[in-house]
Amino acid sequence: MTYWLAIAAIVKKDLLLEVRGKEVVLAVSFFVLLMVFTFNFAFRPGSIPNEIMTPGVLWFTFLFAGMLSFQRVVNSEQENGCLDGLMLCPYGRDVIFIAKTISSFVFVMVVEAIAIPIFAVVFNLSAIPIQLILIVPVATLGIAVIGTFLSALSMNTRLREVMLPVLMIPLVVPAVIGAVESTGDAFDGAGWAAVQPWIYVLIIFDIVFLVVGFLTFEHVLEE
Amino acid sequence: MSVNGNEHPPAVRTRRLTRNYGRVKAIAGLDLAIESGERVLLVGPNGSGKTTLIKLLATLIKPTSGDLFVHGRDASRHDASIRAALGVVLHEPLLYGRLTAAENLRFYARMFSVPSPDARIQTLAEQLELTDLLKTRVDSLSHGQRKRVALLRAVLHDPGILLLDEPDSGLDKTALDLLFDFCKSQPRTIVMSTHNLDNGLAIADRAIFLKRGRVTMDSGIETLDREALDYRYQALAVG
Repeated sequence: MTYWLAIAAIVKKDLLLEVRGKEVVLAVSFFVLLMVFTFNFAFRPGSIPNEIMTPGVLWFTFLFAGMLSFQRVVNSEQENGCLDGLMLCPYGRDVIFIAKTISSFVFVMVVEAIAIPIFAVVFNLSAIPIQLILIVPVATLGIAVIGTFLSALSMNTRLREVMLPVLMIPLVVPAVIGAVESTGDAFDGAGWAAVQPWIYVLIIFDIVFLVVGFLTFEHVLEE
Repeated sequence: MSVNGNEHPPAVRTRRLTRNYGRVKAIAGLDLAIESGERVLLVGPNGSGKTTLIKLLATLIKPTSGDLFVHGRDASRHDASIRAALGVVLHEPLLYGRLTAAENLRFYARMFSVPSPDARIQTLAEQLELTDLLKTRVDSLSHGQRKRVALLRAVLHDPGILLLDEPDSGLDKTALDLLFDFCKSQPRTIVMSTHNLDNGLAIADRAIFLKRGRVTMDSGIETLDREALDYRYQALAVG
C-alpha cells in the first residue's frame, strides 16, 4: 500500500467515526452558532460597522472551534489504545500527522461552510465575498496543521485542555493576522490583487508548519 | 545483511537493549536471540519489564540504548518496514469502539495491504469463532470477544512474528482454550507474556524469566526446571 493510500485509509476511518459519533461537526457547529449570537449581542448596535467587526469575530470563532475539533480528532485515537494500533502500521509517524491534519481540516471546513452564511445573516452583511473561497481553506489549513501537531504534543499532559490554547494561540497569530486582514480587504470590496499578498503569507505559513510537523511528529509521539 | 553475518539471522536479536523510565531501568542491557519459529514465553511478576520488552520489540517505544534487530534488520533504521513483519496484541484491543469488528479489521487490512481482505477476515473469524460478531460494534463486545478480535487483527497481515502481551488476561476457560489452541496452530515466531504458566508452557518451546528488566532464567521447555520456575514466580509475586 502506498503512502497516500494509508493516509486515505485513516481519513476515511476518521470520517466514518464522525458519521457514527457526530462528535466534532455537530458539537462544534453548535458552539460556533452560540459564539455568533453572543458576539452579536456583545456589541452595541451600530457602534462598530459590521464589515470592520466581522473578520475578527469570524476568525476568533473559527480559531476556538478549531481547537475543539483538533483535540477531539487526535484524542479519539486514545480510545482502546488505537494510537498504538496506528503506530504499529508499517509507515512512518508522518502518515499519522498528515492524515490527522487532513481530517481536522475537513471537519473545520464543514463547520466553516455552515457558519459563514449564518454570520452573513446575523451580522447583516450584504454579500459574502468570493475571495473567501481561497482565504478560508488556506488559513484553516495553517490552523489545522498547528492544532493537530500541538494536540498530539499535549495529548498525554495532565492539563491538555489548557495546554493546547496556551501553546497554540501564540503560534497561530501570523495565520490569524493574515486571515483577518485578507478577509477584511475582501469585505471592503477590494479585488483579488489586494488579498493576494496575505494569501501568499498564509501559504508560506502552511508550508513551514507542514514541514516542521512532518519532520518532528515522530518525536512528539515518542514522548 | 544480518547482524551476525548468517544467512538466516534470528527472528529477533537484542544487544544490550536498555529502556529507562526516568531513573527506573525497565529493561537493563538485555541480550537475547529468538530463532524463527520459536515460541517464547516471557514470565515474571508485575514490573519485571515484560510489557516494556514487548513494546520495544514492537518498535512502539525506542530503547534508551542498545540495539534491536528483527530478521537481521536494524530497528533503528528500518522500523517502518519491520512493523510489517510483526503482529502485536497489547493489553488494550487497539480497536475503535464505534466501528464494527469487520470495519476495524478492514481498516487494518488496508493499512497492511492485505490482499483479498474480506476472505482473509472471514477465514480467521471462523478459526476464532467470531463470524457472528463481525457486524457488531466493538463497544458492544465483551472483554473476551474484543481480545479475540484483537488477536485476529494481529494476524490479519500474516506476520512472521507474533508479540502477545498477556493476551489471556480476564478470559474465561472457554476463551482461554480457544486462544491457546489458536496460538498453538500458528506457524510463526511467538513471544508471549502471561501469568498463566500452565497454558503458556503448553504452547512454548522456551521460557524466559524476567526480573527487574534482566533475564534471570532462560530455558528450553524440555530442560525446564518447572519447580524452580514456580518457586521464583511465586516468591516474586508475593514480594
